[in-house]
Amino acid sequence: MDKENILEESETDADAIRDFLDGKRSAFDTLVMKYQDRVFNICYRMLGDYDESDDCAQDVFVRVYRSLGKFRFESKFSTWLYRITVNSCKNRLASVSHRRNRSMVRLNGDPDSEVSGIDIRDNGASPSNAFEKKEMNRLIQSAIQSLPEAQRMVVVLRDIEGLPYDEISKLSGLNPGTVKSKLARARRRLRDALKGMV
Amino acid sequence: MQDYIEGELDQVTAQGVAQHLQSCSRCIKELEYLKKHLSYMKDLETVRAPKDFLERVHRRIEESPEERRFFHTLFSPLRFKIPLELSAVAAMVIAIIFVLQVTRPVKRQEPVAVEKKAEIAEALPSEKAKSEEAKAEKLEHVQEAKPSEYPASESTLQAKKIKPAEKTVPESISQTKELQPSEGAAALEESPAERTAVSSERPSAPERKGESKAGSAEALPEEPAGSGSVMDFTVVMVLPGEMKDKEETMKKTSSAAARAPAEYDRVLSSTPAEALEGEEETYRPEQAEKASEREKTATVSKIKGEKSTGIQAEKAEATENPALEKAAEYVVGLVQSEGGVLVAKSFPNIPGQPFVVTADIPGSHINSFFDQLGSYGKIQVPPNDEAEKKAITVRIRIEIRLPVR
Repeated sequence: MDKENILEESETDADAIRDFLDGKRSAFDTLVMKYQDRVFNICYRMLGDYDESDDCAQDVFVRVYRSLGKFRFESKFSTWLYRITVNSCKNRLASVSHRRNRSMVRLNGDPDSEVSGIDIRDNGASPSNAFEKKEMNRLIQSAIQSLPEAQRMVVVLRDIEGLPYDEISKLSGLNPGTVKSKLARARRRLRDALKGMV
Repeated sequence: MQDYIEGELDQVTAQGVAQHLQSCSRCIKELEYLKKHLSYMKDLETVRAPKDFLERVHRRIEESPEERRFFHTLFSPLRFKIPLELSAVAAMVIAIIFVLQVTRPVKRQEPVAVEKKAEIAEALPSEKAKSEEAKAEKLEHVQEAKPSEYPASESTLQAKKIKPAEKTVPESISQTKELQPSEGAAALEESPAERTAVSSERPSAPERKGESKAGSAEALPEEPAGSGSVMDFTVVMVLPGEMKDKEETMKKTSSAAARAPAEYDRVLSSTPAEALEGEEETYRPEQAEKASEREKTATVSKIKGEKSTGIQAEKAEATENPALEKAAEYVVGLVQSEGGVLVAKSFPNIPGQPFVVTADIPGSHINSFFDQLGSYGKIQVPPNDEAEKKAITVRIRIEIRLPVR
């Protein structure tokens, strides 16, 4: 996405927000329709559970609805929206119920070895899945889930969503250098986790 | 390397990296992995929101945030962990408190209940008091069945205590305890064998009632229970002993009476069968002597057995006793003169049985009534201060008896 498109898009978002603040409720619907898949995808990649992602994504848009009046147009709407999304995901990841729901299985390794691979979430999908791509997607998702929270966030935002470093830096509150270093460590871990598959 | 592959490096640095990559196989492998990684990540399927996502967002927006927050707080797990040991201790403490709370009121209520009963019994004669009164009357019937009641001495008068059973519950309870032998007597009435033993001396209550109607007894219609009388007394009046002609008449009766206390004790202490045997041994000689008289005076044929017919023979003599009748008439006159109301009078034709006058006397006249009653015969005045103070009507049952030689 080039800079002109980005600017154009941000202007469109700003207009929709203004319309909403002027009382045009349908403007909010426009914003939801535009960003719902991206927000949902971030939630899913961060949380790893469809239902929880659904709930989290709804929660994000409800927050947006209630907080649009406080939006100051100093940053892009998408940055503000992703920040809300990431924070919601962090809150959910911090909750006990989320941690309890995760059943862990050991992938690729000897349980006695200390560096024998990573713990990934078992989504219950059959290993004899006919579609190689789907299986690969599942393994990658599991590997992402095994990353620490901050590394997971930067991988999702940079490698999956393709956000620029500065935007990631803004919405996460991290320095661009920290973002890059976290991203490098995350990629290395993923490489170790998916050894022999990727 | 990742800056190089993402195009984040300036041209000079990028050229340097490119030159290095031509000679370094390790960096080439790294570069290849990064390219693969990025392609896989970009190819990851985008998970899309459900079709009704917007509707559900609207629904959730319309929900009250407070309500949602409440339910979320209610059902969400705690953010901090509670140790299992602490939970167990807390549960134990709650259980102990609960048990103490449950048991404590029971302990407190017990004395309160007794006090209340006592208060109720003091204010009104309760059912319990009534039942105890009935019990005491049963005792009287058993005692009346034997001539042991004859007040031969002070000790017998003391034994036959005047019963203020209706005063309070504790007193009535204590009196019931005093009259523990009455339980034996009541049990005596329950047993058929014992009933036979009693009826050998005297017919049972219903029989006696019919007999009194047939004889000289005159029963006035009794007032309903508790019609104005709050205290009940039974006073035994023993006539003076100088009536020699009466002594002659009551010779046989008194001999039976002298024998009675021992028999009564035996009846209460021994088994019914034993008591019956003792009775039979005692009475058989008399029955043989008076066999001819029995044939003449066999007016009452309802009483069963040879023993009872022997008693009937004695009754014919006792009926002619004018001393009891005279005393009874005096008592009736005294009741009227003291402003009392005659409730009932019973002059049975059974030897050894007292003439009974029942009357309601005003509490203010109770002392003068007892004074005049004492001038005629020997009585033991029951405690009546309370009756006088409260100015209530007292129901008195006066048993008029002949002295025992």
